[in-house]
Amino acid sequence: MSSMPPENDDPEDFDAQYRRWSAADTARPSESVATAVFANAARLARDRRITATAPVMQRRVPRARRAALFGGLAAATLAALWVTPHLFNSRTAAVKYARQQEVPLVVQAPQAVAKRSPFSADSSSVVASGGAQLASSEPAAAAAPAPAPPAPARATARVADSLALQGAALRRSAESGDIDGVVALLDEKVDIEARDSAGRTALMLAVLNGRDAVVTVLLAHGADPNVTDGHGETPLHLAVAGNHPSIEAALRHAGAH
Amino acid sequence: MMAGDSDEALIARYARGDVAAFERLYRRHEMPVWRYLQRNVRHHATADDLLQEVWFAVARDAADYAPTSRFTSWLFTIAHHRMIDFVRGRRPHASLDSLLQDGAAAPSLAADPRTGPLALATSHDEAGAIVRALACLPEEQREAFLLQIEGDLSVEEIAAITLSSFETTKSRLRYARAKLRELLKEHA
Repeated sequence: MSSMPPENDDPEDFDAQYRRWSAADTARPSESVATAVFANAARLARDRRITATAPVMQRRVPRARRAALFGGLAAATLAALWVTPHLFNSRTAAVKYARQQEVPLVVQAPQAVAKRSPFSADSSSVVASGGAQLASSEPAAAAAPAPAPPAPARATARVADSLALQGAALRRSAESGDIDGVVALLDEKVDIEARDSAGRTALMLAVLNGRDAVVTVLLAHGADPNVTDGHGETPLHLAVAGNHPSIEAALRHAGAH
Repeated sequence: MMAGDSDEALIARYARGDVAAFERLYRRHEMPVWRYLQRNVRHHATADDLLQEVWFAVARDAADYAPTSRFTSWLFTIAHHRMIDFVRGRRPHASLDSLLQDGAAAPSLAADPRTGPLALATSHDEAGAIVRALACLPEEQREAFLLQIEGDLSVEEIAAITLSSFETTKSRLRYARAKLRELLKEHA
């Protein structure tokens, strides 16, 4: 290539200049990132220690009791295999239908689909990176198992960071129309009402970006259609403003007003 | 740096449960990784999110890290993939530059006082000049340059991360430096 820059320029001189100037940049990552990263690292280290000690505990179990345990586990697995399709049948059908076409499903109002967890507020108020506040109010969907009792404050802080990250991942998937990602995260019981720094939920971001199928799935999983963001906007406002009539209809059907 | 303080030794210690080793590793690489992300995506909060995701992945996969390559090479490979996932997640088949040009990847860029266009346009300081000059580079050149300057990676390592040939990477680096040198001349 004739216009290739000459090789005799000294890159080290330039790099030194770049580093000097770059050091004057006062922009830094938020300290909440470090806090979340360290908490997550500590939790994983603890989990690894527990896993590492598990085989030792196993060896202490008498052989006869081990056989009984194995039998019990096998029976529980068989029972779970039999029960699971019945539990998830209706939701799987809704997701399949939504994937086939970008047409909103008829969904039930969230009050009919989801039961609020009495412990949800306790376990899901978290601080995301960059100072973004992710406050949730309703993590449990209809198919979710009975919630555990409220964890002590230390245990809640331990899970807060991974919840924040999962909430961000859900919003990102919803925003980009990644329906497989949304379904996978909802199956992982990610807080469907987790908010970004502007107070927007995954449903709001899906509406803003005209993601019909994602809106349908989120509503079917119990997303609150009347939630408001930091500016007081609801999903219905956003659908009307964005001229998304099919989403507007789905929201109204789900009880939005 | 003592052998026990090397990146590779610290990540191995963390894999055995030493959380303090992980914290040292994070502090050592926090700014280079963040600058690499922030100067590519040009959005402070997004860079924070991605930085968190990168270090979550490091913590999760620490036990799987094989010291056949340098830790920084592994770290910046993760950062590169997280950034690409972010861009592709925003809009499939769109390049980072096209996203940034129409503002889709940085919806609140204008509202960010630290990296917003207004701040960059009015900034006459040297750090501001660098950020502006980097924004003028094509995506591939900017990324290759940032991987080298922030990650201290070799041409071979950058080629492996960006799935490019050695010669292509070398050429990108040379063009990037030439253009930056030209753009920054008036501030020198």
